[in-house]
Amino acid sequence: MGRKAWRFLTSVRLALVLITLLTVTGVLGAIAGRRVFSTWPFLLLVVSLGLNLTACTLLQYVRAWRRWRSRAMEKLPEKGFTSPSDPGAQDAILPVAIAGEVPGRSSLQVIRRRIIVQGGAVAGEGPVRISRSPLWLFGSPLFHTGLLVILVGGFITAGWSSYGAFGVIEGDVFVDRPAVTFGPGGSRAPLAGDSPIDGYVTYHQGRLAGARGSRFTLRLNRVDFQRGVGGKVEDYLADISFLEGKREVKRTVLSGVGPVNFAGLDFYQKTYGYAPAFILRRSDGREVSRFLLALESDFSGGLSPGWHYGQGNLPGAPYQVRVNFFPAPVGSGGSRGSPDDARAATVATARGDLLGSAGGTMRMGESGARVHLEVQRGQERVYDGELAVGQKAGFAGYSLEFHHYRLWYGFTAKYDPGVPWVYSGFLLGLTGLILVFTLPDSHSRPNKTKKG
Amino acid sequence: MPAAKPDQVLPAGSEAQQLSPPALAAKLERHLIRATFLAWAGFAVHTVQLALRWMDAGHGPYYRRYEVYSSDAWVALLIFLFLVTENRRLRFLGVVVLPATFLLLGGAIMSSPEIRTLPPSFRTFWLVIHILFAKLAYGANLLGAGVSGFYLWKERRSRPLPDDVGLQFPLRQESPSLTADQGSHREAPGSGHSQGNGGPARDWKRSAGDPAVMNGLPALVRLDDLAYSLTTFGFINLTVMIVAGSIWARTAWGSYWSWDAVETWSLVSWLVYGLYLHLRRTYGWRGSKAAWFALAALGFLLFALFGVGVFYRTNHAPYLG
Repeated sequence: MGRKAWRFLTSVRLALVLITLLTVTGVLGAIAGRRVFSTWPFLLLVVSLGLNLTACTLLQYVRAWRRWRSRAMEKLPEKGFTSPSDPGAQDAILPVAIAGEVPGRSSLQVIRRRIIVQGGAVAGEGPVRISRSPLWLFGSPLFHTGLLVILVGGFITAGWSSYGAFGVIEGDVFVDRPAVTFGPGGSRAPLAGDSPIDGYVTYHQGRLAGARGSRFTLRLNRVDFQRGVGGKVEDYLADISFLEGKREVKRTVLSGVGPVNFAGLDFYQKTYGYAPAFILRRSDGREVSRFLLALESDFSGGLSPGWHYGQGNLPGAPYQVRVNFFPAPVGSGGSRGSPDDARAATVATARGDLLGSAGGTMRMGESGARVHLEVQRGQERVYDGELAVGQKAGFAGYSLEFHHYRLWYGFTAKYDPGVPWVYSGFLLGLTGLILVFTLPDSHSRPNKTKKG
Repeated sequence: MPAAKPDQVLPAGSEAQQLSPPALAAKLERHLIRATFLAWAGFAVHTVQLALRWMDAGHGPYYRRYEVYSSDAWVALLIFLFLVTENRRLRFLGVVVLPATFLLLGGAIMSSPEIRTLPPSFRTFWLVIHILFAKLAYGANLLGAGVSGFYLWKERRSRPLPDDVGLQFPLRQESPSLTADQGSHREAPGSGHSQGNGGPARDWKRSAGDPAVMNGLPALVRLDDLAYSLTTFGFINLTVMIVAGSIWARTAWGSYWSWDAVETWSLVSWLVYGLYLHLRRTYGWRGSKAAWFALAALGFLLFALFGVGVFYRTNHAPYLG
């Protein structure tokens, strides 16, 4: 029974069936959407393939080891091979005639039947010995081990990784808060789609990842643009600090080229946008509220957005506001202080010295930036007009001042313990492939005929 | 029975003589020489164009459809010319590669040649590796499928006709799929080995052009072996392409695999080629079965390259746009 089960598990036929099913599922997933890849049937299929792969790989190692041990055995003499004398004759190795292992001989020596064709007729045929480096034996098991390790890495990623997207306005601080405790009797892992952490726009973590503590506090010091020919934005850079309490423990610049690592997490650039700041006052000058509206941007035309738009409720008043933002023309001034002077030298900020100290008072300077503002209550529009920095809109006993603007930066924080596994699998798999297919075998070139 | 030579039998200048195997073979050889020379000339001009474009854009020719198609065509031609240099008998592959190159260049010309700034996520070594191996994979698999197509064509043409008893070779065959190879070594109809009724001239007319082309092609076993080698080479490159792309995705977006449409279709293609290799190495699939499989597999790969951009929103959009 056990032998039968082992035979079934190690059968190539099973592997072929599973690979075929995986291919079909891949096509289905490509058509029906990626949700297919998080369903139980798909998971079951991958687990089955993993089991089959493990069994086959073990068997391959055993066979390779046996062959490795017998590699020093006596060499097989070439016999039965005749060759034509005509130098123009073509020969061909007939691959179907591979005889495989020769009992009692080194397993590294396989026999192929070489056919000599001369003038359309067979002029000679016979077995040819093909010798290969013994390392070749371990190519296939190594390749399959690599695939297995990748599968394991994939499971670790699915089970234990976390992903969070958040936005921070210049000068603000984002605190990664501990996960919420679910359920009355204790904690459980958040379900897919839960957003348990306050402040994240989206947050997902693997089904097997438990509750955790806070890992980082991030302050966005400022955002700069890196511009190329014609003033086109080539990249947008975030000058960020990681804090412990109020103490800065790391300061760095995040760009689109690659992530920044802190506390085991990788931080990636996600997006950027503008955040105009408003002050709402009553007509007697009494301040009602101050607020920033983080706008969304359209990046369909590249990194220089086509439009910036946002809407929301006016804090402290029963009105809704819609804002279109038009940035100031590109300035040619250099960047202000940045942790990386070499990089900073190439950076030209879009706003000149407009954003003096993020989060604090702003030096208005020559702005040129405008907002198009619509204020309405229900369906009734009470204001529709354009404001420059420092200008006010008056409506229904209120005044709304466009006070200044800042930039906000979108981040993703990623924790993925499966990555080292997957990369190790890549390395093993590629090494295996190279061993299988690139080690030379001494008689494998069909048109190298032994003359005489 | 000793065969009479056709040019001893036929009147000089006759239609039959012009269609005789030696005359056709010589004509074919002249065409092949001219075509290969033109392919080299086109390749040289194309190389200069790509180099100028590279200098102008400040990045390799791998961003936007114009550059992608143009460099795809260049790599396919490069692999073809390399193979031709190695073995002149592989010039027949031009029938597949040159039209493909023509179509790709046509696609490039129809796209916008505007030079776009490379996004920051594209400025990485891994992207170069990813793209380089993708092109090699596509080129090798295109050629592999082309050879498979020729295998099928030659095998079909080699089948004995109902009234034509082909020369039987004393080969020991272990695979029924290669039985037709016996026919591939069969002399051209009318060359004396054919014993069909109606005489040599009838045979030449019936299959005009075939003998010269057939004799110009490598033997079926060689075609089969070559298709396998090219497909294997393509598979290795495909693997490196997926690995490098995965590392790049992790660097750029934080996830080494996100089931993006291009990723999924590339994985599907990889699995299909994996199946091909398993079937061939383990179950001895050769000959026409393997050839049909290689042709079908190319369909998946081509869809991943050309179809996905049409039917899906993908994070490869900047590349395919």
